[in-house]
Amino acid sequence: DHADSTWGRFFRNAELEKTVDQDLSRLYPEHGSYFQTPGCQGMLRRILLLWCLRHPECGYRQGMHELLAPLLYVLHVDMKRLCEVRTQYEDYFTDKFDGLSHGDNLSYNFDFKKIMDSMEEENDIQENTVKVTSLDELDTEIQTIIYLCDAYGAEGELGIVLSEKFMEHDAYCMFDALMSGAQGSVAITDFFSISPVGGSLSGLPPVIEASTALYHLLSGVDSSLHSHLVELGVEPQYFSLRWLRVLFGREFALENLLLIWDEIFAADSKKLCSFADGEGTLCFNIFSSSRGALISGMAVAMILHLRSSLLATENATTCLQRLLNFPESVDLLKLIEKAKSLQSLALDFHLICPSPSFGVDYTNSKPKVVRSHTHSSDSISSVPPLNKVPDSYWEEKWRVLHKADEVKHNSLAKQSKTLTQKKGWSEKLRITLSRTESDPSRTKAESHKKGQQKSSVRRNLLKDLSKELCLEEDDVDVVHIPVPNLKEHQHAEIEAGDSVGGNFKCSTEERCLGDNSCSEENSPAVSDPSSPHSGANNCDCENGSEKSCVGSNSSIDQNDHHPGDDSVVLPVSLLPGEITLDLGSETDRTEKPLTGTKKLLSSKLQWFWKFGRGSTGEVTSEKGQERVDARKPADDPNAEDDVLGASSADASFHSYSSARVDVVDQNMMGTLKNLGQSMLEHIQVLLF
Amino acid sequence: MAPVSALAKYKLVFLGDQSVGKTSIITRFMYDKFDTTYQATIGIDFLSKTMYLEDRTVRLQLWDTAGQERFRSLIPSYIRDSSVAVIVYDVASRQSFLNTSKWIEEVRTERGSDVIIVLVGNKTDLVDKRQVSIEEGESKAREMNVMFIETSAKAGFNIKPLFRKIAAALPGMETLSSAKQEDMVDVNLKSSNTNASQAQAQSGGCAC
Repeated sequence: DHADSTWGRFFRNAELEKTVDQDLSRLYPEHGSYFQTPGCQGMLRRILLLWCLRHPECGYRQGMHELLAPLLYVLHVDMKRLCEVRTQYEDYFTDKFDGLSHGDNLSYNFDFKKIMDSMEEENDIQENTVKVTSLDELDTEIQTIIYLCDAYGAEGELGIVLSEKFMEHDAYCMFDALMSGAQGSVAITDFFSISPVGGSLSGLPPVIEASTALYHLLSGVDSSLHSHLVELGVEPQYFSLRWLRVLFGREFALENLLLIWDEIFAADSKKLCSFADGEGTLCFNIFSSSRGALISGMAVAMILHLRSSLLATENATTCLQRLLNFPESVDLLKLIEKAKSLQSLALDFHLICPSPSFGVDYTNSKPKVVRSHTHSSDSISSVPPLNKVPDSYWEEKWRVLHKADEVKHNSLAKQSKTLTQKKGWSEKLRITLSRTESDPSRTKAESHKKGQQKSSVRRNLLKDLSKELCLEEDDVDVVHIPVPNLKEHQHAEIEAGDSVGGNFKCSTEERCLGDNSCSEENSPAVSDPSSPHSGANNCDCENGSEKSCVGSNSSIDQNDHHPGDDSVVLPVSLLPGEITLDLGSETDRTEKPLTGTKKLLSSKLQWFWKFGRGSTGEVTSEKGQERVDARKPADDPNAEDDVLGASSADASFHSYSSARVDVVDQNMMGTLKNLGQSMLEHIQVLLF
Repeated sequence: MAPVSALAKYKLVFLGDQSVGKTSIITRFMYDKFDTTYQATIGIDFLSKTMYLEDRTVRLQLWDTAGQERFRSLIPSYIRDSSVAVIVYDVASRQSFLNTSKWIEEVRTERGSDVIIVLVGNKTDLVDKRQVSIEEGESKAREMNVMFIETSAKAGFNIKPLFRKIAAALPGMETLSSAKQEDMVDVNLKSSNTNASQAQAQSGGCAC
């Protein structure tokens, strides 16, 4: 009877308060200056208590405070910065409306307004080309802040957004969005749950399922490291419990953590459809969204970073010690880059491979996929097991990649840094000023800049929040144009009930991770067009070649910036070009195996869609992003493609576009892509 | 002479309520230092240390668990293969003392009597705030048939004796599958003798 009585509640709440206080009092002792201040402690305490009371099913779990603290910190730093700039440049913070009504300094304000407009219209113009005013002599960052504080501008008043008054409220909302997932598929509360949550296919507690997923992903890229850890009895949840629950908060210094969170929050948490849905097969939930896949990718990248150190010890506790004392000196950009390549692999797992079958090795689940392939197309019985790869293969791949990476890395980092800096202003302005901007790659680029990191964490979380709250459209600046389209395709394809191409995940992986390493050795076998296969088999071949192309494409992008590496990659990049005939004949060939008009429509749609996406990738790489940025958009459609299987028209076209990227005149390509994108949008409109 | 090639490894799991000082005890033991604030442990933390005893050298693998956590559903094996369970309470928190029964029970359920259990009353430096007397601790230890000691990680009081006590109670060399086993037989006997006598001394209430 006591449980529900007022006194019962009172004591429970007192207990809760005590627990929260105990953890808060020892939060980030090394950052004592801020986190231990009474103001911060008070806010953290109120937010946590309120959240826990509102989520009694979850309550307070140790670690939550460390998810909240960085959020509050980001808000605090932004606000402090604004205050500083305000005090220091007081004169520039003139209220335009007041100025106009008073009329005494009308001309000045008029000029100011003109500059604002021109800045908004022509984002690419560097600030120093604009007519001289005293404002231009200021630092660009400060200019941005001043512009954003225009109370009546398009952005509203930055001072209101960053007001101390709303800080606690904002932090609560961001924390809530993070914990409950804001209707996406990544809710951190799940990682605190010790029992399976609703909708779980595995019947495991989510954090255990996610841990299993990490090892699954690891076994796909480095089976020897995976088996080493398994043999030593290093269960993934021993270390991933902490990694996942505080989203790597304990593994990195705060400033690095914020960069990682930027990446994580910039990734969409929307659940992607998979064939596995509704078929009663097991599927890792964490792989089902790009955010979850990035988190997994990050974790696996961290394990791989410690590879040699882990393999060097035969002691489980030592392994765990190393995993839970991640080196501080890590090259973060490289780690994130690796995480992203693993992210696309994880998404491939989700989209291609419907049954990862828990506890079963990656290589063992392959035959299953081949079988389902057989169901869908009758003439397939003679398919040779194209993807039989020995276990040592992945190890080899990884080693080669690792080496190549190391060599390359310095020049890559330098180059990308200078390039990013060069276009810093125009880009910054676009991000901050344009509300409709939704290109995720740009956000990513920006997040590499230390100066901007804090606000982007916040922005991303607020995005989530606004999604959840279903605000008016103009407040939601994240609507990702291709997404609804993608869903459309998947639905169409699910109706078609086809999972051809599943057995090619191998080659995807190889390209993703094998990068510009010795991947040419397998390509001819996979993509040999002369092998006497049936129509469906041809599809497969093209799928395979298409993937090899995507992989090589990314490495080509990279090579644009590093001509020194050409020798390794170029042979690969030529391959798809040879296979891909002209577009027309490819489409013809595809139409043969396809019968229903629906299928045809979907494959065409896919075709255009990819076209549009391809251009995103292109734009990014032209801007001198790191290669992952270029690769990610290129790989994403690739993943869908595997699901879509039968539509080899798009597959071949994609390879066509990728292969041509470096051969054909860039301008021409741009025009084509714009055309494709606009056609895509029209078709979308027609469909909805 | 300690045989280097036959380093015996033992897993110690640290259990107990939130904030009773599990991490502090371990840190004091490992590095002989103390911070007033350690962040809450999330999940399990892992440390290992080699202990050089008079007659042998042992490798201790310390599993430092989060106090709030009930791991059984997440990490069923976390107690299973440990030789020692160190169950810590805060002498300034009666609740944490009462909860040790649950922890002891959990360990017994998993391991029966095939495990060394040490009950540790930490934070003896908080003299004014003490809520659990040493006698209460001792009698509970006797009742549950476990070892007992009071410590203060902050003051560095009784930390080394705690681990020496544990080391002395560890199963002897018979668990070693080393070729050196024969050489160690007499040492083994000696250590198990001291072991037994110490265990008696402990149950009699050795607060050192």
